[in-house]
Amino acid sequence: MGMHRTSGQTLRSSSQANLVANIIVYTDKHNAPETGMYCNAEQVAEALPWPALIDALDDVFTLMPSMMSSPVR
Amino acid sequence: MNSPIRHHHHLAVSGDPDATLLLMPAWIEDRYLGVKQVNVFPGNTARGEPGLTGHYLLSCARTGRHLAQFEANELTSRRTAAASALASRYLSRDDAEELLMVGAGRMARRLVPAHAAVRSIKRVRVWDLYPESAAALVAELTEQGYSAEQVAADGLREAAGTADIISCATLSQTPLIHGEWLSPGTHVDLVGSFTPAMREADDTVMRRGQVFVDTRAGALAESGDLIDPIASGAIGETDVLADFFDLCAKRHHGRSELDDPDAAITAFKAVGASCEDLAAAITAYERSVD
Repeated sequence: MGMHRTSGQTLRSSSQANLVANIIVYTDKHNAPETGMYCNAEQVAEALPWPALIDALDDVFTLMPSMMSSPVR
Repeated sequence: MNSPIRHHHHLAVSGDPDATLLLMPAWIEDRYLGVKQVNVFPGNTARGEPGLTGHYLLSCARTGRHLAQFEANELTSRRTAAASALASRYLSRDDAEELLMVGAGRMARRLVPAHAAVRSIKRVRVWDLYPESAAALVAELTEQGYSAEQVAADGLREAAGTADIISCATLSQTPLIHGEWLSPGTHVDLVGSFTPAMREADDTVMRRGQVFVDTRAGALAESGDLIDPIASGAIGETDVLADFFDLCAKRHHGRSELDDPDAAITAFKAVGASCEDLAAAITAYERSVD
């Protein structure tokens, strides 16, 4: 597991053992801990292998009946 | 899925040119909400700092809870290359083996493996305005196991004539690929030309080719590769046969639906869409958490 722990809390266990993510821990207004994840460029690349990403785009355009509004780059 | 118009704001920066803030939201109701923020600060360049930075924020669309943040340049580059590969899946010949990469920059390094993910690419040829850039990419691709070679500065016409797939990712403002060069069965993938002033393909590419786009609204409004040939009368808007919505939903079956599937020239023009960013962010997030 290549997870970087930037705080004392672990976000997950994962079967994607090669994936790497930084964990963000912060507190809400009641001082309850909240966790999030940050992926830098290298981690984004690791998390987006081509077949999975291509299939994800195929899925999203299949599900969308039509373009809702102007697209953006 | 909702993919509204992007927000585009100018910011005054003391002593520097104005900065630009781009906000690109998209969401799937009850599932995910995402927004890409791109900051363009031209004054940074003079200080040796990146002029463009971006990140993507992914939240839960049921609670609003923050889930993840992603560096956006890589996210955008990869989803852009993946969109080209998705188009190739529908539009290039199944037996396509030779890829001509026009441009040897950041996108080229992602487009080659993306295309290779959907077709059995046996040979990659690289052309760039700057031969040293092409040589550097060829060296990298060779190191990665590709059979790659550099195309001479004056060899683009010959290379275009033998390629099965031509992928262009440049900032060119004049056409680089000419339709008269293309052999039957070629698929042309146009990634640059994301403003009306930019061109990568001439009018003949569009006239000879069967034209497809990622989104009609985006490509027809933003790309000089379509705006100019439509303005000149070389093609009309109705010559755009289908977009991703049609292809992915199988309302158009891509190359296999064309009159002569083996010989047809196809041209795909993309300018990107915020739903692609969201799809990429969701994929990265879901692959990272159980």
